[in-house]
Amino acid sequence: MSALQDTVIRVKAEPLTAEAYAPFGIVVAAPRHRLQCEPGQYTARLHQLEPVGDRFVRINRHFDHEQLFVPLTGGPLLLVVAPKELSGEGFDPGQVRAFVNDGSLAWTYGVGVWHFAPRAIDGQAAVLNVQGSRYLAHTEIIAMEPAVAVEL
Amino acid sequence: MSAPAPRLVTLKAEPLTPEAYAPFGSVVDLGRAQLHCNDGQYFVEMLTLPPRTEPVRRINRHFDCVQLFAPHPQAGTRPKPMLIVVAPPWLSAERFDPNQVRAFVADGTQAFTFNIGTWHIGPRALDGTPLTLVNVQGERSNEEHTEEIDLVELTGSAVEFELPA
Repeated sequence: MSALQDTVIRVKAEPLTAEAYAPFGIVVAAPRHRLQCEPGQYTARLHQLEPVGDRFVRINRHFDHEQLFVPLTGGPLLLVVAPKELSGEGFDPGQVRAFVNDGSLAWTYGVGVWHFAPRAIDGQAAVLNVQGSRYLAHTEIIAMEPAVAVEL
Repeated sequence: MSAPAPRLVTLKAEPLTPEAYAPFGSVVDLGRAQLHCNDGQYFVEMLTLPPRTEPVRRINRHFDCVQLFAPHPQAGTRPKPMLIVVAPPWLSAERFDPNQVRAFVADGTQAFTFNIGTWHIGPRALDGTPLTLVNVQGERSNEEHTEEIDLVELTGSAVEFELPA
């Protein structure tokens, strides 16, 4: 392996709170929050999560909907996101943020917010995923250079 | 003069499975359940429903959007089973038949939907405690597209449930 591939940006994970997470989406609470999606295209499905892993490379975002997750089984989850203001070209991995959800919070990725699929910190978890059905046609995905490693 | 006590129709609650629940909505699994919505956008909220144990007297439905419920996760606590009460969308209010009501017990890890027009009540915890849910619903469902009926007024009956052993 080359020295370049060994270079990663290290990001320290923070606790998921509504305030800290506000630039990226919401933590679901009692007040109603309007979700945005192309009319009639939301879908709901179960998503079995992968474990955290040691490198985050391919980050993606959707332009057609705000994506909602609800933890259904399992323990803590890791959310890895970056601001929607970042463009795909010249993406700065130093802007990536990581949040630990203790498994008790439902949350969203706002429209255009860069993200990874949530990861299961204990290795196993299932979440409800509410997503636009045509998301693939409205997705931008890039390989971050250098990659990101998250410190829990 | 007091009104006569309503008759009670007693129905057996069944475990929530996708097959048994199909006439009323989806139990969310690895496949995609479509959330049809014919008026506006969805909202999401955390909804805490008070404990309810009395027989079901009022039931409602929405005509614009599929409604989605998931148990709101509680860190460090066991999943809380809940009672889902529904009746088929083809039943009209005028000819509502309490014997068509069905009840399902969800294990507390299942997300499920009410199809457009499916009669339902708010889910109830089985242990007489409040129930916290994530509710995904059409933003105009409650205000503009709801039909709610009083079973006792319409049919003389309320509905109670026998839980599975």
